[in-house]
Amino acid sequence: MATEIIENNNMILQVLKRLAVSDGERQAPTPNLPGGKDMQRYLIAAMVAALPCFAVAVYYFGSRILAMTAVAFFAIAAVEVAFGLVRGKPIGGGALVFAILLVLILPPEIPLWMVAIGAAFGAFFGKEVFGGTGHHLFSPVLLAKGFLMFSYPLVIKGSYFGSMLDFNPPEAWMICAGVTLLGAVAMIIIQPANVLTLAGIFFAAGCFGWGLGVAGRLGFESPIQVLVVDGFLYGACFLACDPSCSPGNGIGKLIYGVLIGSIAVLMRCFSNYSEAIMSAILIGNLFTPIINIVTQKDEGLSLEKE
Amino acid sequence: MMDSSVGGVAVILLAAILTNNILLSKFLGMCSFIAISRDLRTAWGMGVAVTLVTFTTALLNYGIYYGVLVKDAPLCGADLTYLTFLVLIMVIAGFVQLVEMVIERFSPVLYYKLGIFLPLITVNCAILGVNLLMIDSDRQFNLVQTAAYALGSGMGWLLAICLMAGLRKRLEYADVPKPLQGLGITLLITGLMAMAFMGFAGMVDI
Repeated sequence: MATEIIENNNMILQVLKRLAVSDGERQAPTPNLPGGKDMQRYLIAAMVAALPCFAVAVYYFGSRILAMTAVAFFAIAAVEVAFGLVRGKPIGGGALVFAILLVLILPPEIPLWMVAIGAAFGAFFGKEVFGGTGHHLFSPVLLAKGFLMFSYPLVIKGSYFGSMLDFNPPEAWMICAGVTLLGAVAMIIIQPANVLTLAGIFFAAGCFGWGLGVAGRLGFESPIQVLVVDGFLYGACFLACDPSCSPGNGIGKLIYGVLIGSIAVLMRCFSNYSEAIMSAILIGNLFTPIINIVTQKDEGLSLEKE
Repeated sequence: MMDSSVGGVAVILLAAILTNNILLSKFLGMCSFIAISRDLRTAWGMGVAVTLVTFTTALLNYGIYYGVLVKDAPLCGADLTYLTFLVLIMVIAGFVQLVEMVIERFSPVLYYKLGIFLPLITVNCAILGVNLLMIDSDRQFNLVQTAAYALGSGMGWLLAICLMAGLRKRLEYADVPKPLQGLGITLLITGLMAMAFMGFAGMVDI
């Protein structure tokens, strides 16, 4: 099998391309995807949109970020190639995009072996056991982050955005928020439907932030702060829109967004973990199939079909 | 001792549903959770049945435990707490028989879909678990708190099994490796669900 895959340069190029952004042919049209190419579109969109954030991270933290990305990429690629070889199927891909997305939500000072463990866990249990990119039920990036966060809670305290707030001049997080919003605009231009998810998240988070602020339970000076601390903006803009684990139609996306936004703010104010948006998106992923079933009455998934 | 105001009761209810979800934090009631979660409608029926049984038996057992079994109880002076397990499980078994008859009378379809798992609610560890945790000496729940705790636990189980039924429906379109199909992937998803629910930790506590 190994010799077949590395038969000629063409094959290697193809494998590399697949590893980077996936070629879209592998993914069967799933019930919540309008077309099989949607996943590839998301991967390319996320790659393009996250690049400014990545550049800012490299500017502030230097080669550390590059090293982390390389480690994460090789860990994910190793899992994907291993599954590809054993199962005799083409590689699902997207390793580079997932690596970049993952590195940006990790604190920059963590040891590299943790990055490798987290990335491998995310690729293995988040993606490959379900059949690879486009079949995943949970965001692999968030599973990696969650796994690290719950396994090493003392090390994985914040994220790249959290650290920005801590030890950099105040304009640093303004730059962070700026480039993230720029990324959000890019995401919306490439996939207009994302605007519904984003609207839902910000509407719900704003409402709950305002309500808690009035009740005096917020813990922040203004509701706006809730929207920019930690990875909130980043998670909302890049990770919530994964087409494989977010609802397929408009009203479903809106419900999904409202669910994530409200849970994120409530968790941020009352739970033990600061990276609330990450858990909130995972909860949103959990609810996605139910939302699909409820909102797509005419599809094969509906409740009426016995 | 918890406070028994409306707020305190609401906290117990929420905590039992989310932070201390009986299935995702204690992994009780796994067998029927895995066996019945293939279809959303059946899962909903099973969840409602479990919620009903949990709620009612917890109240019945609360009365029996504090009325008869404990030392110096109003109805019997002797310390009968060594009978706790026997009495709790017998009350549950008796009540499940009743529920079974009612479901067979009013919803034969659900009755046949649930099959053997309906009488097996009797040995659903989530229900006995709630009944035992409610009389946990550390907690000292009163009647209202017990009701909230039992209802919340049942609803938490219902939530988890419905989410699982949805995810398994979605899974039909995924490309799961052969050795993992069925039970394996279901257990994996349960673990990932539990991880997602860990984010609620610390929000409310019992």
